[in-house]
Amino acid sequence: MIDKVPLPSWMAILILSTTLITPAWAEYADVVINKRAEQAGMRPVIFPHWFHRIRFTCNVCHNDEGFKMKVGANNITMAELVDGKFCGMCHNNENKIAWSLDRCDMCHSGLPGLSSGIQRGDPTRGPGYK
Amino acid sequence: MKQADFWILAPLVLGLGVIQVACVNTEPVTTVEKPSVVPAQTASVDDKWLPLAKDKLHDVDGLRDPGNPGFQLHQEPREELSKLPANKARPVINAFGGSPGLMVSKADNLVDWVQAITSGAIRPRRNIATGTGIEVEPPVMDMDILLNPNGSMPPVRFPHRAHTMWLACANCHPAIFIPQKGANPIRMYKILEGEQCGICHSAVAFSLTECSRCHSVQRIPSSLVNPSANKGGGIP
Ligand code: HEC
Ligand code: HEC
Ligand code: HEC
Ligand code: HEC
Ligand code: HEC
Ligand code: HEC
Repeated sequence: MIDKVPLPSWMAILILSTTLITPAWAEYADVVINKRAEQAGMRPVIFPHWFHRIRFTCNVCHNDEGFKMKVGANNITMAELVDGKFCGMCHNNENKIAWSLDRCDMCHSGLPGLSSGIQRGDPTRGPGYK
Repeated sequence: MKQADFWILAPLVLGLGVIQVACVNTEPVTTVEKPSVVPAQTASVDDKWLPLAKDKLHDVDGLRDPGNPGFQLHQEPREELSKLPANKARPVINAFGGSPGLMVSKADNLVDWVQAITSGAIRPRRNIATGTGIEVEPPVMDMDILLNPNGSMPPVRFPHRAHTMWLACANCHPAIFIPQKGANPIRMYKILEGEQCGICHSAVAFSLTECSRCHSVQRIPSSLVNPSANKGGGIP
């Protein structure tokens, strides 16, 4: 049976899937944050820059109190978020800027096993990036 | 996953990714399959932002967990980004000679974020009050700095205005750039490695492939500045 198929079956699947499936992916500048989350039994965090920069300028998050502009350079724990730091500046019950920290799934939305990093930049970075 | 499975699946997934990326990026927009949720009148614009994967089969880079209940609540990029000023096609500078062409960068959320603010399409908050320590709005400053590289690349105009609409002075000064003209040896290879301008560009701000957006200043032929420089009859 299998040798009657003119193409290897994986090739057939490949061709089929590329014609039938609408591809989907992360948006430019989405950040995966997985320094601690998965070790602590949670899904990795996916942070969408595009969504937040429509609403806030960069300095609101990237300042002395907030996020350093380098993936992995921030030691984010839930205790600090509850304290009103990092995402907790806005995602809290007090100043009503955004929904609060009890909606774990909204932030912890990545597949297990992802490594931290920024997504979909043009591959122009030379050697030694990060 | 068993190791054998991995070696069968890996090339498959990789091939899939490569082919799909190739299809989407190179073919005319109309050949991309339309997601059924897109209303007809905006479809041609919307095709440019691929949907977030709502299940495993569709996910090219395997980022989001479809089993996650919060997932379906995430907003589709195209719903908001398609309303913002689109990034323009810009001349590509061909470093190896040959004819320059026009190209729209594939990155940068396909949005011109400078236009988005100056046109009033978005009004991002510049501060958040109530005990966060970010009560002050950073100033916007209009000062262009000309960075003139050696060699044949057109000089770079660094616009403080476009940057201070988004950033505070302290995001750059003094950690990344000493605030003094000429005090920073800025080099393209460092930028490409993700330092200096490359900290933001090609990560969150517009992509480094848009050479002419930075290298935007026409070099004035030396013969015009100083007519005697052209005495040898060389190319102006
Ligand atoms: C506003 C976004 C957001 C929400 C909501 C959120 N988290 Fe987190 N969480 C993060 C970020 C960001 C990190 C840092 C991840 C890392 O560095 O790996 C994190 C890290 C963690 C960690 C590992 C670090 C630590 O503190 O031990 C745990 C556990 C965790 N979250 C549990 C939860 C639980 C449980 C909920 C729901 C009650 C929740 N999170 C809701 C953003 C969020
Ligand atoms: C709502 C908060 C928020 C806003 C607004 C924001 N960022 Fe970020 N940014 C983050 C977080 C969170 C990270 C990831 C930090 C980490 O992984 O530890 C990040 C990471 C980065 C990085 C590091 C990428 C890397 O590869 O290491 C850069 C560069 C950056 N942001 C630039 C910007 C620029 C430019 C803007 C404005 C256009 C901006 N950000 C707006 C929250 C924000
Ligand atoms: C400067 C304020 C601010 C900070 C800091 C911030 N957020 Fe948000 N975030 C918002 C606002 C506002 C919304 C929209 C809330 C709404 O729609 O009610 C939002 C929405 C979101 C969404 C939902 C996006 C969607 O598709 O609907 C996610 C996910 C998210 N934030 C994750 C994070 C994570 C993770 C962090 C920290 C790494 C973070 N945010 C830090 C303000 C912030
Ligand atoms: C984010 C802005 C930016 C982008 C985009 C950019 N450049 Fe540059 N480039 C610079 C700056 C700044 C310098 C240094 C100018 C100086 O000497 O002060 C530079 C310098 C150079 C130089 C001179 C050699 C050197 O290392 O100083 C070359 C060649 C160059 N760029 C080529 C390119 C090419 C090709 C592209 C597109 C693929 C590009 N650049 C995109 C900002 C940029
Ligand atoms: C995105 C990064 C960035 C931001 C934000 C920024 N600058 Fe600059 N600034 C630069 C660069 C790059 C130079 C050029 C340095 C050089 O020529 O080596 C510069 C140069 C300067 C200079 C020296 C001008 C001269 O003629 O010597 C001053 C003063 C200055 N900046 C002030 C500011 C102030 C005030 C703010 C906030 C309102 C600010 N900058 C925000 C990147 C930035
Ligand atoms: C701290 C982050 C950061 C750094 C560092 C940075 N930029 Fe930018 N730049 C931005 C952001 C954010 C924008 C707004 C446009 C966008 O996001 O695509 C911008 C916009 C620009 C624009 C405006 C384009 C236009 O259409 O008006 C130019 C030109 C530019 N950058 C050149 C440079 C050069 C040259 C350097 C290095 C000397 C540099 N940038 C360093 C974040 C940065």
